[in-house]
Amino acid sequence: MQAKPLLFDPLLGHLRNAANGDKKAAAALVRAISPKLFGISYRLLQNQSDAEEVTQEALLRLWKIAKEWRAGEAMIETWAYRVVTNLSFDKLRSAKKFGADQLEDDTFMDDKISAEGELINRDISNEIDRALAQLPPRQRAVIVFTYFEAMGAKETAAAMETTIEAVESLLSRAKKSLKQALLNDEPELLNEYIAVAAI
Amino acid sequence: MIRENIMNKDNLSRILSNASNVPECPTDKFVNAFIAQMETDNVVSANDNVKKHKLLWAGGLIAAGLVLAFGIASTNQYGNLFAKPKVTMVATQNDNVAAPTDVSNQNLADDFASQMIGYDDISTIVPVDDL
Repeated sequence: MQAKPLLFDPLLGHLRNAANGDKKAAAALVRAISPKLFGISYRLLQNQSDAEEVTQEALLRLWKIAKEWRAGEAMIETWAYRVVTNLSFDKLRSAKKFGADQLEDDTFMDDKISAEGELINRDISNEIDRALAQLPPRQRAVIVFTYFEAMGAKETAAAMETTIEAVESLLSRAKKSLKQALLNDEPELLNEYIAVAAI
Repeated sequence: MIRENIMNKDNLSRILSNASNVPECPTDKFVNAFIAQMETDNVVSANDNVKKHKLLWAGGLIAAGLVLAFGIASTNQYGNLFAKPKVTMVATQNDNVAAPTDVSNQNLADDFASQMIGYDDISTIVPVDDL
């Protein structure tokens, strides 16, 4: 049986030193990792204070596990993405925005659109945010990882604790859902999106 | 045409680039909270160590006390630990001493008798402890 290749983890040194009480190392670790964690949680939750709360909790869990961290099994960053994603999903469930069975449900999407089809503000950013917010959490997560965090399928699969094939399937459904959400606005607006993006 | 191709990767990337920006990450706040937690946990573990040291001291003192008590209890009146008293025979009775038949024998008897001076009862074997 071939041995698993050891992963080089650029954050490992910081984590180990932080575990031994080195505050400088702890600060370096948090500065390296927190912007991305905050970005992911914000995109998923679309609420700043919720995103801060979830990010802080993820960092706290990282501290708790610091002394027992086993190098080579997983990247620290990937582990942290996983934690922040799961915490965000928990937050969405607890806010009753999505039930446990609706985390990936495509049919849920149709009902949401028909109920909230009226445009209040034609601001492009708001509309895109609104379209993203309508996605079921796991579809939203795969869009966030792929398009906002520029993560590959392998890294996304690790962060979402699933397979690469599942990520590709989820991404396909997410794009379809997003298209449906955007096209439900006035069709000309979508062309406007493309035109603005092309500038 | 655009609508059909809208969900290709490039177009979708362009569309999503118009999403609102993520607010500035409050990194300093996260750093301070992380370090505060480190300090809290290290204080807790330091207190645990102090408690352990106190317990160790107390245990050591108790053990020393027990050893001392055991030592005292095991020492006899003569200051020996586990020692049996030593027995020394000082005088013996010889019932088979023959009566002197001549002058040399009489001298032996006198000598014998002179050794017995000072003992009230020579027939008693008196064990004497070593002092």
